Amino acid sequence: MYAQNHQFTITLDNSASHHLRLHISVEPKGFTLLEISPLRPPSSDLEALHVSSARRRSELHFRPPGIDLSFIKMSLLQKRKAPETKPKTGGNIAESDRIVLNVIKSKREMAIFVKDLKQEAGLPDPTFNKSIKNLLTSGLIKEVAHVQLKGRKHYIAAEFEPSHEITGGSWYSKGELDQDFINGLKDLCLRIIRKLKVATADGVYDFSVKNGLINIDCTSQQISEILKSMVLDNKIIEVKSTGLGEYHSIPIGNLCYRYTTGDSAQGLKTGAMVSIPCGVCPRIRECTPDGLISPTTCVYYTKWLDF
Amino acid sequence: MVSPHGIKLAVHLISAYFGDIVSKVCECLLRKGTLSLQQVLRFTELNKENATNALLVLIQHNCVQAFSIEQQGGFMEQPKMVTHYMALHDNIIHLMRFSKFLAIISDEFGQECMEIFEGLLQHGRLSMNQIVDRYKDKHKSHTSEENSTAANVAHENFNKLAQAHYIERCPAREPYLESEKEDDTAGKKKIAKSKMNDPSQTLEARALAAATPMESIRFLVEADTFTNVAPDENTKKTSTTEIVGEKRKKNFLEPENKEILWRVNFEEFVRHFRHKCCITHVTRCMDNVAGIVLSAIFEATRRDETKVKMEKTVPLPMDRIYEEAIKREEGRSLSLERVRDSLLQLGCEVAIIGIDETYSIDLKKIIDEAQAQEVESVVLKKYGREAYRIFRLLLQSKRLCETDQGKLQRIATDFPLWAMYFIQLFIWMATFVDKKDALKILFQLWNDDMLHMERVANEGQKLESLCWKLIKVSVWEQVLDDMYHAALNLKLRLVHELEQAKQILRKGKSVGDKVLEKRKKVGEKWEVLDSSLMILDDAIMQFHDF
Repeated sequence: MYAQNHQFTITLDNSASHHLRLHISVEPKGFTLLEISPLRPPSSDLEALHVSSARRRSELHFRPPGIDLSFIKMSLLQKRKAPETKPKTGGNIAESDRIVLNVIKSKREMAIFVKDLKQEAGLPDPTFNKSIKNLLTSGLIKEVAHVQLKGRKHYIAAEFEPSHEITGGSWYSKGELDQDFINGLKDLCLRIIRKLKVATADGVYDFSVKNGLINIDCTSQQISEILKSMVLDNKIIEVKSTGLGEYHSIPIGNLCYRYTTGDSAQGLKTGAMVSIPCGVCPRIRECTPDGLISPTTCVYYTKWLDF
Repeated sequence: MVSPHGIKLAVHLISAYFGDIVSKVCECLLRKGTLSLQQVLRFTELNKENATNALLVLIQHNCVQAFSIEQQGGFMEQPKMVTHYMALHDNIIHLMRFSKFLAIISDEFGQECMEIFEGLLQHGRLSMNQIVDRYKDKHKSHTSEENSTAANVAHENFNKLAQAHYIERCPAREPYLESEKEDDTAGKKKIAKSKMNDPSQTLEARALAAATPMESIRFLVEADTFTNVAPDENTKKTSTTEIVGEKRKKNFLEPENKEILWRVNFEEFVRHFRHKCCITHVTRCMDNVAGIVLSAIFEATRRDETKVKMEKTVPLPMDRIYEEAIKREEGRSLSLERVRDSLLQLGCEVAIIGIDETYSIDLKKIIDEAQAQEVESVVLKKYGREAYRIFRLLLQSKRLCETDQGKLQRIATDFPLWAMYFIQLFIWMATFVDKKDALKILFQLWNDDMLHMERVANEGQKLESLCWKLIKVSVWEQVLDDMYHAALNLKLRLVHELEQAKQILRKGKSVGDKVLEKRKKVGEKWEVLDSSLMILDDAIMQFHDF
């Protein structure tokens, strides 16, 4: 089912108070136990906080003979890497294929647009197309989706992983923004900040790791990006620590995030303009007192005042 | 410069209050700027009597200010004095806030004060005697004793209003302004000139400054209460040390043997609404305690504020803030530490002067935040959540640029194309909006004048980069104009609805259930339109007056 040499984290939970985390390496011949660490029982209100992402999370339930381990939860420690296919090397590839391969290899992790590749290789169309086909079949090159230039074929040598400029970074999956993953992380961060009231990006990350709330590959930098985006959503606010009161555990001047405690926590303020039809009217610029579109004949007004 | 719909709304208000002739003169002044009577006659094509009367009505209701200025004569002619008239747009817009002003007076001072105040709103300018007579007429009695009691009540209430600065002495009818040329020839004397003669100010600003009574007599009632003469000699003597311009101004203000006229002091009401807006905002965004603390600071420093648009509150010691906060019922449970926490939350930096710790709150920041929230709510509803995020990013990055200006400028100078690319990439990476969607939203916002866009060609790569920027000043002006437009539309729709329901609203001896039902509906519509207008007006003040 899995490729060789994969590492997993297994959480053993046989009572409300005992938890163990096992770090295991899976090999064809069997399991190797790498590390055992005690785990604090998850706090009840945050127990359910597990970011779900079908792409990233993989849970296994298995029952080794003689032991009841139905409570075992296993999650991937790291995003599963694509099996590394060892590219064929050697002298049995055609000269034209070699030229194309060298051009692609010279671009390293930046990949190359097919049109530029054709120009740099300087081969006639049929030969070029055949070479590309051969190299793809032999697994020496692969096609990658460019996040900003969708629809433009890009090739990269098999031994390189596409750069962040190509993939769009960790928030992208197959050239598309991974909204499920982003929204899941946002929800998790919001709940952590609501619990902590004030926290730095590192504080949120540490809290989630310490409590085993994140079972996917996620860095402190990613958490920081998520928090910044949540500030733009007006879900949390960015403040500087004063070192006093709620901020006592955060050094003075450090950037931290605070859950809004006022009425705005209930939701965004309804502005004066958006409460009336003119505030969001797409034709406001064409509206005049005696014109075709006017407040006296306005359909939006009629609808608004129809009660 | 007043926005196009600001002028339209003002003209509509004048037309509704004083009719078409007055509104024609007012529109002419609003559109063309300050004019002499001859120019008004030429532009409006009205006869002299009509135009003069219209100007008098506008002056009576504080919508126009006159001033005289010396104009150079023609060849071999002596310079002559010409009276100019300027429309006061802010005061015209205040016409639609009269119900709010009345509500404040009624809340703070009760019914009797409200009656006096109402008279001033209705008539624009009244003398003390006129106010007392009006009050006595309203509370007619047969005995002279009762009449004198009514007069005393009127005086007392009048005093209360003046002490609270809700009413003030009228500005000078026609202050004289020295011409610019005269200023230049004045040479050394120029240094001694007062602010009202500051040549860097516009003519209109100079006229307003010259017309405004001195602070020492602006709210002074005693001198004119019973005698109806100009303030006593003592006041004049004490002010001999005043700057030259102020002294001359005073002479214009107090023509001999003329009754002193009083009017509503709109400035005090604007200050009141500004305070209320700040308190509401911090209560909403932080908590009740922040609202109580800010309210306490306003109360304690009310008389120390030198202008309406104060950027920061007057610095106040911690003890004084706490003392004022616990005076209120809702603040009685507060501890000193809790108040201090709240002050820090309000963005105060502890400033220690001697042994006192004093605090000052950044009001400009609070107003800026409230304004931004209003615009953001429009963006959210009109363009959606992702546009809202992008808009907020651009708004914030402008703020950030202020601190990182040097660095950004260096990047832009050394690697202009990279900087542009960075800005674009930054938008969709920071907001988690897909590039295609982000571009669509950016173009939509740009199309509605919410964003500024620059195309930068990269000849090497035959690519074109787009640079997006939010120019806050122009967006805010646009939003204010839209608000004036929306307020005008609400007013017009209100008139339209009442016009439509004329037949139903006509009083009849007996009306059926159907008519009663229809009347109820008209009443509900009127209520919705009117309350929406009042809420919108708060937002207009937030963008224009605060």
